[in-house]
Amino acid sequence: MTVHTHGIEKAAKADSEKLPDVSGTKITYAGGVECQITVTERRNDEPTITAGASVTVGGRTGVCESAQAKLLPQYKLDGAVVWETQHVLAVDGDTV
Amino acid sequence: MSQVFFENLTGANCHLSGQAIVALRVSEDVDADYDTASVVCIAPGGPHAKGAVVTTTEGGTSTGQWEVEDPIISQSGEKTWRRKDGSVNYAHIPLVSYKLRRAGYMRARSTLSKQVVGADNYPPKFCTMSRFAAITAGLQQLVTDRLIDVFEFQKQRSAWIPVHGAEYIATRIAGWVGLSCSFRARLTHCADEYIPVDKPAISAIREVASWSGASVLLDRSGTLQIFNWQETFGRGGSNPALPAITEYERHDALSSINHVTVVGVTYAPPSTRDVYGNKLWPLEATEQLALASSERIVSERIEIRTYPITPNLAQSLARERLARAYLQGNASRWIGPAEGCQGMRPLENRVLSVTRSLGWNGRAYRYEIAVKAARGAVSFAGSGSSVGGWW
Repeated sequence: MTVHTHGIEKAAKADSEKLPDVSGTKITYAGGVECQITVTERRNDEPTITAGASVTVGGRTGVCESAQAKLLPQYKLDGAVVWETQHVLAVDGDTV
Repeated sequence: MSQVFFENLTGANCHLSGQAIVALRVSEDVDADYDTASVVCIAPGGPHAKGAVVTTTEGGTSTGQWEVEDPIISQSGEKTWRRKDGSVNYAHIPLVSYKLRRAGYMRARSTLSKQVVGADNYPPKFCTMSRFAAITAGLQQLVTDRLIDVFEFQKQRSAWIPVHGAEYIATRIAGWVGLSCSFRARLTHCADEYIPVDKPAISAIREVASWSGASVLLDRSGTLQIFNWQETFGRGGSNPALPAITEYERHDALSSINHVTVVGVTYAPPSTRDVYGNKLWPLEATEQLALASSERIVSERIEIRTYPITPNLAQSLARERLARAYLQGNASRWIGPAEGCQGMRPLENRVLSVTRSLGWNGRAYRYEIAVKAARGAVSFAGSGSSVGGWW
């Protein structure tokens, strides 16, 4: 079995709103930050996927929000067809 | 119609005594006992205390004083848990929702109880000078007939507060609760006797004013304005002349009532009274609006049994009631941007009600005013009164 990390995306998102202030200047207030890592892997055997639990994929750990696997028959890896998996991980903290 | 936003309105010129306004809704209505406002503010220093007198400033212009009825601190993980720009930590945005009543509210609603009027004046018993003379004569007759002694005579006599007219009653009641009042109209009619025990001060003064077809309104500084309702609003044709109008409605509805009967009792002529000066006759007064074609009589009966009234008083009462009902259905309503209209208010501008709203959409304020004013003049079709009948 051969597995390699094919792509990583990081995202941090916060809701923010501006409110009036007696100084006359609007002040920005940010809501909670949501950080995500999307890990794409390619491998040469059929994977089993699941979501909702804490997982480590491509060296990144987080709660799996979604996972999907897709067969890519046009590609071969070590002589076997390629499976591509994509895990969206929610990670704690304000930074990622 | 497009919504109008004002870039020059900021938290610096839209605030509640130093607290930036996020949302504001003000209602000033000549038919309501008190103007009301609901305001959401950012209050980093904590909310204004209940009962505190605060001032709304909208677009840099003061729109009057208010008393805080209910300051509500709102905290919500979803809605207020935020990190302020420049701050490391999260905290709740110090949002406070206020329910406000017009300044003077606490004084105006206080009841005429022993604590308020004083033991010497309780129960408050007003009478006209002529009625006082009759009461005195009646008591003297009781002394002559040896039914009461002189001390009882003095006690009963001094329990009354003789007045020259209804204005004196209104002024006295306002004085008891510490409310300043201003007369824009003469109160020409007065009941012979009036005993407003434990009534809210504003209700008692409103009742006294209604004898002369007048009404009361707490103005923006908390002074009770006493005005002739029909004279002020019943002539119709008011146009608030807003600088810009986004919506306009014109109503020409059937009046909810078109005929009013006031029923009560009145003192009989002196020649017919008993030896102690007391005899009451029944009194009925009617007023009617001009009817639309095919319109039938829809009557309201007002019974006043707690104190004697006069025919003129009953007629004024009926007219005021009819005028109010008529104008409820015959008014026009204008909506437009409120900037520049902060001074628009009932009584000063002959409008029936004003509603202003100021809302923050994340970038700018939206500021709007809705004004309701009398459209047509009230026309009465006929009136009548009779004393001494049976009904």
